[in-house]
Amino acid sequence: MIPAKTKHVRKRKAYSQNDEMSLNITALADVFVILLVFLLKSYASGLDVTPGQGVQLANAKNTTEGAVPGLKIEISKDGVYLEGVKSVGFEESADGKVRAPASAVPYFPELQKGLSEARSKREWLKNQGAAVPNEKEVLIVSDKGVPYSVVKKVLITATMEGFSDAKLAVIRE
Amino acid sequence: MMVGDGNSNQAEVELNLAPIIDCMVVLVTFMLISASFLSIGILETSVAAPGAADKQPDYSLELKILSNGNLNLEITGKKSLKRSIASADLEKSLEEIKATHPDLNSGVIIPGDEMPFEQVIQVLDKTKKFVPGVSLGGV
Repeated sequence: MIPAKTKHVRKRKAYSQNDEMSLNITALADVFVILLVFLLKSYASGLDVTPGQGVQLANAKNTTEGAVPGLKIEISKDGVYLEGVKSVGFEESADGKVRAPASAVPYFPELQKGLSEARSKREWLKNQGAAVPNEKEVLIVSDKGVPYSVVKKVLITATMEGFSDAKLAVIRE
Repeated sequence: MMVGDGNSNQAEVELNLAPIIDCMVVLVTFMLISASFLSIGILETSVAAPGAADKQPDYSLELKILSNGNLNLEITGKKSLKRSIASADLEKSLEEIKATHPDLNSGVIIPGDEMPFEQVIQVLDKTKKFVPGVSLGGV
């Protein structure tokens, strides 16, 4: 005669051999889907406003949350980039300050050329019936240590090419 | 037909979610690493160009930033005003001026050429609160 305790152990053993224990991961999949959708949505803002490496933005309080313009000019300590492509290179001065190359004109001719091409591309797209963002708007992502003379030159160049509404990227306080 | 029905009753079909979870873990990790958590805002401005305004406003503000950070404020128009103010008192002064000049909605900030952009943004930010149509000058 088998004692009652041994009988019970045998029964449990037999049960675990027949049925595989499986973890219900449906809820986990749901959480991941939600996370993924949220992250993808936050990525889909059109233009990348994130400043490049080494670019430190200034802080401001009275900012707006309007649509980001389709054209981005980035001013870092080593040059001016139009849509990620270097248009103007800066000279390194002895005192460590940013210096734009000496020029007889109050604008950047290389940047003007790039902006002119961008404007022509937009006009072509518009003629093809494509939705083109506000033609006068330009996003300026500038390092906070850059002297105003450089930013002023960029602003003048953009205005010359019809991009008169400058939107300055800042860190919201 | 009958055989099929009997079969589905006996064996449960279970979808293997493990590879999907694996893909999602990799994707979410990649996105979290590359995401930027800085809150970037937009400060709208324009470049002040001579003769650009269609209609001359009643008052116009001119704010010159000096190299020591202080400001020279000048209002042209009906109630003209000239004042030299410290950078710390800018908001207070603009609040007072706005009380006496409620229609003051346009102006120009003139920074020095060597002024760091951060300082220009600080003045622009404070001024925009009281004078929404302020633009950058010095052109």
